[in-house]
Amino acid sequence: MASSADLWPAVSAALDAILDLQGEARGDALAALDPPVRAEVEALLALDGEADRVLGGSATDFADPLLRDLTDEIDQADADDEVGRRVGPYEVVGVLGRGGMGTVYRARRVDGTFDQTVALKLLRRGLDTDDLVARFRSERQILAALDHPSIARLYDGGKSNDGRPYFAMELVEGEPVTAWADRQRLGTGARLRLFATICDAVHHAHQRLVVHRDLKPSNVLVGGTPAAPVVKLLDFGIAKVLGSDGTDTPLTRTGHQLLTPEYAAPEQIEGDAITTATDVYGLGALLYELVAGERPFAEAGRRAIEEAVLSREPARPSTRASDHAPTHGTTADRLRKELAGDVDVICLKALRKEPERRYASAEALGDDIRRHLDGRPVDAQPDTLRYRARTFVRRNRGAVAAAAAIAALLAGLAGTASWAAVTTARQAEAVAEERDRAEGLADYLVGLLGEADPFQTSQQSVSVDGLIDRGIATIDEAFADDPLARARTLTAFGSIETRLGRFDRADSLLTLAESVLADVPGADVPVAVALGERGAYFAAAGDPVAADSVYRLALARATAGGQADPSVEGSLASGLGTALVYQGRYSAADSVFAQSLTLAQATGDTRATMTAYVNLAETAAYLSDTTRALRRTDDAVSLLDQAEIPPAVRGRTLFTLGTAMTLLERFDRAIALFQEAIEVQSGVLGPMHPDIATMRNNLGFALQNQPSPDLDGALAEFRTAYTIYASAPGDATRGLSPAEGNIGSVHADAGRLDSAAAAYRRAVRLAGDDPLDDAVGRHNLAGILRVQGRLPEAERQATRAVEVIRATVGNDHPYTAIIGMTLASVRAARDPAGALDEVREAVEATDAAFGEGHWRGAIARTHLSRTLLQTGDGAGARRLIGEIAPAVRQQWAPTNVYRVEFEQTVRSAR
Amino acid sequence: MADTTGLLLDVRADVPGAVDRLFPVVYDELRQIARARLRDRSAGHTLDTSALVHEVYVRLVDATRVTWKDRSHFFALAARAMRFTLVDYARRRTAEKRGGGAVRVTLKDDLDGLAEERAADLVALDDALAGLAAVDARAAQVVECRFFGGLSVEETAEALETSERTVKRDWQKARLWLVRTMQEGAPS
Repeated sequence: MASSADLWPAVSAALDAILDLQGEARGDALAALDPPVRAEVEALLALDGEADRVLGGSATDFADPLLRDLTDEIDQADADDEVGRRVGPYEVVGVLGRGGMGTVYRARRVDGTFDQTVALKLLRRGLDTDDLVARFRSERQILAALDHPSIARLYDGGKSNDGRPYFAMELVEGEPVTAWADRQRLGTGARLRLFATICDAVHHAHQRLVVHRDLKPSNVLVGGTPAAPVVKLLDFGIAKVLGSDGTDTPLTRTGHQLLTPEYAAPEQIEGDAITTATDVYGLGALLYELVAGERPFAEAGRRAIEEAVLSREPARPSTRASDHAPTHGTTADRLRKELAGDVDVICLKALRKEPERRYASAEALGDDIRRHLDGRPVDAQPDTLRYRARTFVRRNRGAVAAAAAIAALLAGLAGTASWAAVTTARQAEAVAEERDRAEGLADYLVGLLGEADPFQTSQQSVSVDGLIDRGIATIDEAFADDPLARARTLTAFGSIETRLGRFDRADSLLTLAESVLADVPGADVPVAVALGERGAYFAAAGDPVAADSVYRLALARATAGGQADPSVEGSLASGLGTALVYQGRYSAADSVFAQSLTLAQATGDTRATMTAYVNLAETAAYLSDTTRALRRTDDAVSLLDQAEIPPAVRGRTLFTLGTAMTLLERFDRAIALFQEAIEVQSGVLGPMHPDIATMRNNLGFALQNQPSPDLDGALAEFRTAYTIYASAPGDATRGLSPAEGNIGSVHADAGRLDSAAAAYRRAVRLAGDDPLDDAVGRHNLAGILRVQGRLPEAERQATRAVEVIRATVGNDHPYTAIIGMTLASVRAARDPAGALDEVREAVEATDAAFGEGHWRGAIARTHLSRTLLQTGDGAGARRLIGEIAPAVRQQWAPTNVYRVEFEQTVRSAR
Repeated sequence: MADTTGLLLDVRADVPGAVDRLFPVVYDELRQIARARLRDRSAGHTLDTSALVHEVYVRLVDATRVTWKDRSHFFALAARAMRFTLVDYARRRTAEKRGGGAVRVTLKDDLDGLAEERAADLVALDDALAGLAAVDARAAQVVECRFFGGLSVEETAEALETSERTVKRDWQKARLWLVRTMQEGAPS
């Protein structure tokens, strides 16, 4: 500090000269300075942003958060001043509490009619604007509509001498429910009975279409004795009367600011529609604190709490209660046992993020509590069971929906969506192929089993599960003398189980098949087939590296002893190529697909040949080899037109080719191909099939990323895709997270930061236990949060995204590079100098993943140029900007939030 | 009540001790008005630095007896009063924070920690400004007028009897110097 003061005269003079200069002239002037002065000047110039933060507005703007507290102090002093005054027929005796709008006083009726002490709520001075007066009145009307022994009763109301509205309510002598229960050393049973009473009162309000919206211990007062507690629900100050359809329109901001975040439901934080389910959540939070002694989320700070409410599952209450055993009149061990099981499950069901997955009503919640108290089975089921039941759909959505998650990654990364799109198509194709094969296998098995058991064929519907179980049970007997056939059948069953996502069963069947084959001499081809299924198993289970080695083993066996079967070999090569694509090893995949093309041509299999062309077009596109990709696409199209291809295959291929065209940035052709694919496949699958949603996603990408973007059109496609996923039977969250991600990307392209953040946040929430959706969603959200300046949360989200993506695809995958870049950019925003090396490393990792000169590298360098500028290296920033600007401007539309940021960097660097 | 207009004329006439007599009057009046405005704030109004300073002037000074140059001098004083008012409160906040033991009734929890952060920033800024005054007194006065008093470039130039160009330049330089000093001076 001393040195900067000593240097000041020289520095000040230098600044006088330099501040007027721009661009190169400034650089020259800087270069002419003495090194110590120059260093100081450059350090100062780099602080322009920080100077804007502190000194950009007026002192009162800057001190605003502080002045808010001062205002409160003044208000409190004002409230104290009211004591002793007359308000209507009452005299104010003391202050009971203060809410957002009004202060509640203890007051005595003094007009001589009768002696009564009341709680008197008086609108605060200075708040008597029209809309606040209207809201104050609405609270009074709400109270008047409620008549329940556990809700404080309204007496009367009017206007004070100075014209402020007031109303008088039943005075409740009690203390917050949690404090009361602790003071009485209530056990879990008594607490639950008390809670059931609260549910009754909330249900009463709901029946009158009143949602409380602010349930928390301080609004539930309890008095009386432990044997006869008197519960009163208070403060309908932000309560809402629902419309006739039972929903509230998105919350007003005023309502939001008055919220207590520890008890707020996700939809309140996000500003989504408020329903009675919002109070069910509030009751869940209340129950949690009442039985466990802790709030569901222990985070400190509004943002951290809000983030936890939106994205984290609370821990089971039983795991957090042990410290509070003494105030619950029991031991830690006993308390844990009382809560473990039913109470945990009931609590977490009430606290679910999605309103529709909570209890249907406050009454249903109260009923479940009473069922537990009576020792009857409760309705709530642990979430994990549900997740387990959903595994099949989740796993098999593989290509269709999880790939859409990858698509969202690209969209969110703000460039063209193409590689996501291509991956989508590649996986969709693979899944569809698998589905066809599984169906064929199933047909075969129905026949097989039908012969074995004549009764079975007469059944109208044969359940797949029953079929498999029956098949497995009869294998040993049916194939006792033919180990090869036995192994083949086991392999086939293993293959079906893989495709159904039941990996445990698939694993044991394949293991059994492998051990049977180990004893059969010369069974190289069946072993290769079994190994191929093992490879498919690993690929489907999300381990492409293992799939890779197994496919290679399989290929070695298939060609051992010179008895190769080209169709088996070709199919194994195809599988290996797919495993390589999943690892992002496009070059290796390309040569393997070339091998499968040769094999397919050797066998004269048109369909296999066409598939090989499509695969090769895709890898060429990944490798940015436009010429070859176009040629392979034309090859595939020519076969599509020549061959007798069923509509389902034709539709899928059109889709795949459209995706390749997207990658090659032939958007007009891509859009036409997608539209035709959607038309063909809608005829085959119906318009609401999840595959159609995937196609609409990719059509949306093309519309979004063509030279003159059609953002409205893209948004419409993404929303239709969302609707399709949302209306799918069974797993209600399938595909929703990527669909939200796509919607967010359109908002980001249109420069709508808040909408983009909200969509990405929903995407994270909807990701559930899908790691890819989770990582992609957080990555996208972190990018927007950074631009919004919400850096601590941005860093948390990006850090988590990196952890998840590393655990999912490994360190060397391109996604890891992209998401790592995001984390580095967030850290750089917080500490430009400290994170500069990290940003450079992330840029290098991007180059390594995509190759030098790839547009991703240019995007990565936007972060580096911004960071250089912030650390005072204006010359370095300018040089970099000159290199990347054309590529960046081609990737990002002028309204895109990152483009806008980049152009700001360009301007500041001048 | 003191004749503030007279005191202001004394300040202009370089009467010894005039500033010391005028300043407490301005400071008290400013605090009182700020308090009233903060009360309105609950209804959604924000506190406007520039409006406050002007309101103090209208209340304390008989405009018919003074010139525009007197008015500018008064604004500079009011800006200093504003600085004292805000920084006093910020210091009180940070002291409470450090003291820890004192139970303070917080009506709205400072969940973001933003109030604490801003209080610390304001204290650091005040210290940095004192440092700046030692090396470049005029630049420090420019910051007081512009930032704390909400004065325009023109008003600041009048109050400090310098050119608008100098005010602009001092302002640019001082901002950078202050944030640098605040960062260097931060204990963490």
